[in-house]
Amino acid sequence: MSEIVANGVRLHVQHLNPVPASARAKPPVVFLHGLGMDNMASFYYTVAGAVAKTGAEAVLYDLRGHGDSERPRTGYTMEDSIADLGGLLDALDITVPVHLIGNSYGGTIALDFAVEYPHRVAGIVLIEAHFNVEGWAEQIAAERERVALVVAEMGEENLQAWIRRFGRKVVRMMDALSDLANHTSFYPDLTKARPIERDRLRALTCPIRAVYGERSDVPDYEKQLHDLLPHATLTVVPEVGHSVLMDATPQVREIVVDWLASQCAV
Amino acid sequence: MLEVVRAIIAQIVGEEYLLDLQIAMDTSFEDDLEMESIEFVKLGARLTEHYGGNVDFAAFLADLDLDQIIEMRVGTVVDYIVDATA
Repeated sequence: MSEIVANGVRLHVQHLNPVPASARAKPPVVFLHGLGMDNMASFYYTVAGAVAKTGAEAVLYDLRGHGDSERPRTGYTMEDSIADLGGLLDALDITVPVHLIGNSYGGTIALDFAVEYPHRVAGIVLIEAHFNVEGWAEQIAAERERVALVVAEMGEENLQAWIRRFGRKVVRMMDALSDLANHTSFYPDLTKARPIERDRLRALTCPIRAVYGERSDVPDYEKQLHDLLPHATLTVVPEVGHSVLMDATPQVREIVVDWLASQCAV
Repeated sequence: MLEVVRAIIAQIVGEEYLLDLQIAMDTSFEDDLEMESIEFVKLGARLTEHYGGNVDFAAFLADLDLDQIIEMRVGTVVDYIVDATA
């Protein structure tokens, strides 16, 4: 079972150690990857196997528009992202609270989902997560602007020619990314993100574990964590940046596995 | 067993793409086949469908570091399946 229609979209799902709903005693662990070039493989290659090896039920899926999931022309707002997650849990008959492990935008989804459906979330691990608070949509718009300037400077034709000098893998990745970025409502939807009111984030009570790279480019994450999620436990991994999951895999793996074990022991 | 793995790779990347490529034990997923990471995940899932739950790709990868996964050759997967289904 690797394809599931949730919220009207075909999602590529890997369900490890599935448990029948009637026998489900522990929170399943759901992995949420980041935006753009990312897909579930970044968790499948790093942390998910170690989590599954402990016997935990684990769910990985490609967000809409990413990896091997459907890439519809519309539906890339945060509201769509959390509706997809809710729809997937429904489709898998997961009614108990889950642990959400989110990398980058995946962490942002985890927080928004928990704010909207607190009864469905047992705990959260944030890896280099952004916070959907005032100013975040503007940061995405600015990033989009920077990329557009680079493309404009190079010229679309030159860019395409340059990409095609690489092999199959890079061409496929860049073609998918280009379609998502230029021919869907991906950027317009992201840049009109409605910020969560800070008090709603502050009201989250589920346990939260946070991991950031020392050279993280997430603006003010320590300040945001302190202000919004003061009960979160933070680890800053030295000498790595936003790609801490890939660049410090053993540390992140250990943090996630230990944290999940500590949650089960509570 | 190599033939089964070859057939599943062909399903995922397309028979057409493989026309010029021989898949042998020392074929690299990254350099020779240029498979995307998500295609490698699908390969694992299809192998489990074919051979049953003892072929558990996620658990197999859990013991490897990223470089080992990226540099993996077809033979490593075949050897793993032989072990797992023994």
